[in-house]
Amino acid sequence: MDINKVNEYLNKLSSAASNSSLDEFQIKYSYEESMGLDIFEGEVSNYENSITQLISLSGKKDGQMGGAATSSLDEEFIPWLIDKTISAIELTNDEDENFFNCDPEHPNLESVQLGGAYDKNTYDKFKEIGLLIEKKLLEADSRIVAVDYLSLNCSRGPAIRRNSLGLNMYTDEDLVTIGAGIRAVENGITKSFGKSWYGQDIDEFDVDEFVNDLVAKAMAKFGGSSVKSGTYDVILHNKVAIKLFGSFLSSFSSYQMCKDLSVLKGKEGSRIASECLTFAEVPMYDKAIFKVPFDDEGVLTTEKNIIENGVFKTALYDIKTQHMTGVKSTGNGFGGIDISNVMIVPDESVPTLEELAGIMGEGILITDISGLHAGLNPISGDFSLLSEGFRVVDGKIGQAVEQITMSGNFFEMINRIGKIGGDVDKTMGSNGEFFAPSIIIKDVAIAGE
Amino acid sequence: MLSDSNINRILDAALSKNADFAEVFIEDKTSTSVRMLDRNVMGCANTLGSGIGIRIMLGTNVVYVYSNDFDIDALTKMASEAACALKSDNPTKIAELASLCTTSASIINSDLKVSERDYIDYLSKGIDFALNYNEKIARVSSNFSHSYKTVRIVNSRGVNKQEIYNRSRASINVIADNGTEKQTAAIAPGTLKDFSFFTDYPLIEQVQKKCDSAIRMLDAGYAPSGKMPVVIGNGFGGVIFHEACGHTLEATSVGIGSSPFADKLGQQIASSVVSARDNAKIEGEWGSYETDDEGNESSNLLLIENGILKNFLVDELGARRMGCKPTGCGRRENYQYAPTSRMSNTYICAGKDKPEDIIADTEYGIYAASMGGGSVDTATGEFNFAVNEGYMIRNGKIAEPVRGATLIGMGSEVLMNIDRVADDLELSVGVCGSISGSVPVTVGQPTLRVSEITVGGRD
Repeated sequence: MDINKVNEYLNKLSSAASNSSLDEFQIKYSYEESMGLDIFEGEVSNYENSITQLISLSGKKDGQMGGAATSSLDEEFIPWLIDKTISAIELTNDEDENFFNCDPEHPNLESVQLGGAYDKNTYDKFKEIGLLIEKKLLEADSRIVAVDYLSLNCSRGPAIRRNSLGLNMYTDEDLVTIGAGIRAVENGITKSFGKSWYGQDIDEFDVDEFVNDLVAKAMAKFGGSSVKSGTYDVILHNKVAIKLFGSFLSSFSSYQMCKDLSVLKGKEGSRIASECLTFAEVPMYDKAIFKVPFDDEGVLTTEKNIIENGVFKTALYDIKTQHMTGVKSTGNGFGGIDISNVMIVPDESVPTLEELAGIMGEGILITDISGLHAGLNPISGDFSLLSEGFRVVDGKIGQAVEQITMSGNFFEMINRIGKIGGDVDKTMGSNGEFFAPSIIIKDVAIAGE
Repeated sequence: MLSDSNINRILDAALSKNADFAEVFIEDKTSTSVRMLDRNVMGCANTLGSGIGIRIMLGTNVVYVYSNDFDIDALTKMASEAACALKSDNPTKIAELASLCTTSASIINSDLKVSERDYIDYLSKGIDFALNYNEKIARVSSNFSHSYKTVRIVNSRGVNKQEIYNRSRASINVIADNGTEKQTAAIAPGTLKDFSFFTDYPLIEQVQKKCDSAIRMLDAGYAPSGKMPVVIGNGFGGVIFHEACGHTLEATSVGIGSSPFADKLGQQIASSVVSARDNAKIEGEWGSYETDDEGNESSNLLLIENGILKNFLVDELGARRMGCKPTGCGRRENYQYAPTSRMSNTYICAGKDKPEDIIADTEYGIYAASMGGGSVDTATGEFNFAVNEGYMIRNGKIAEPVRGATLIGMGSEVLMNIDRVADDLELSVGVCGSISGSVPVTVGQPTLRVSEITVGGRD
């Protein structure tokens, strides 16, 4: 990125917007460069390299907001951006006013979290690691017939936000991701399993750990069968807990509540879950790859319990809902209300999955769920999802279970939490990571045979 | 944007290390959208985007680079650097560029002037109806999006083609609330035709149906669990075929041998009442195109005939892997993705039964009147999809509404278990996600019955 060229353009756009009929405006510039490759059958089957940028203008006039965006830094598009922003505003009649923000005490915000290792991510390095992963996967077990996908990617790039109230924000991050999926066959039955890793330094990636875990989990799927339909105690494995909780986070948005689109409306201060559940937002969590000191609106983030010992302590607020409700923004304005780094607080007295299974005694360990985009209703909380996992008999994790669905209502289900585990895993989201341990849920409807 | 000579410069750079194929994909797109909540316009956005993707191939190895900076020196450098990943000793000659050939499956009446205000007025008709229809309709969220996209594909074989897409979609989502429960139902018509498609669309009739559905589902009990016959309604019910079979017929999985149907060409993979097509040539249909994103002509492909697997969906890379010709199905969301084999308008063909006879002949089961989306593991064929509006079938009659059902199974099994196919084929629009991004697709089917499938209910 040519920062001088970008600054020159942003100054011209800013000047033109100041001289337009807009009351206030905000400019965002984002730039990303990425590199990645796929390995297939001992070769680099696909290599990608890219540079992209986007400039967006948001404007406010008479309390209404609108915007336009372009991928070109060509000055000839500046009048287009302004005209389209104004025409968008003229069509808008949001009954709730929108706001730009600048905290006078923190107008200049900067968060640069580069691992410093991006330049290690060369084609040759990725190729070497990729080929090694593929080789080790194929040699790990004779039942593995193919590595169907194996991708290594890295990206970095800054984002700049400036507004007419004085906000001047600069963020920059980099990330490396590795994903692989294998196919294995035993007695004519095919099983597939995938795994991903992310971090900032490719040298922190442990090939053997990645391969061994992927292979072990894939091979454990053989010998599976369905179960009789009925009600079972289940353990939501940590990644499953993240997927399921993550699907219903919009219900914690104050905006959804204001618009009567959340069943949690009016329940702040009330008990909504079992006492053992504490769900916290920890923007600066020391184990998170990226700390989130401020949101996209320039509000400093704070650590808070969203659910504390089963009690719904606070909804998530941004600047818009701050004005709608009178409750101060919680620093969750990420282009709509969203979370940064969050965690379901683990019970460290139960450090392993095996110990949690021992506590449950009988039931099903759910290790994966599918169909989240269609099989759940984020407003009502109802869900019915293709699931797989393992039987738990006499407190031991046993035979694989497949071709079942797990159904229920999320908001009822969190009142039937039997025990929180301590085996924390994590997943990267849009603005931060979600950390969660495995969780026992009582009396869950399972459909099978 | 880029002259022919500059495109040739990029192709030269891309083949400088003797790869056997190079392609330039240039995209220019303007899009407009409006978003409403009840009668309020919550947002209106315009985006102007363009970009270029350069693909280089040597055998089955691919390099793909993209940018939205059209500086010719930067692009040539990018192509040269990319070329270094694919070296060979056999030079490839770039064929002379053919004259630019422009095609489109869109139907555009340039006299028809439409603005964002028309989109708002259109949505407002549906919104007003829904909010006045029944006091249980508590909220209506909606949006209208329109895009005009030109893609140009030039390659080292001399292909020089351009496809134009004029695409619009409206969606209206009604939310019913009885004080303790909330249920939603939505319409989302989309087209490559101009705005007259929407003025001809039976908007009020369709919104009323969805209001009725959401209200009915408020008081519905939960679906039963276990294996049973399921009658799947026409239209978006075709998502079952899209997920359970369509994805596993794409060269993306067939070409690497991961599809359960990879070695089944010419064999029976479905019951004899099932025939299916992928037809990208339906003029004005949401998933249509004349020229695919690799510059090949689209096709009306017979996938299954009376249960026998007839064809796979093959893109250029898949053709190299499988040793066959591409079928004109190379698609991508935009220049940021290399193309791969994708479906277009994919449907199970009409049969001879009457929908009412299929219900009458079903003693007990589920009638899935309206389907949600789903997904499939292409390596195992394991699929899932959600029933948005379901009813029990008892003694050959549609009985009480049920909710919360997901249908799961193996693609190969469910195809063999389709035992009745009606004559009421209907298409329905959607968006499909895969390794080349999200592309508009149409799914479709007549009413059909699966003799046994696992229903994931709660009772």
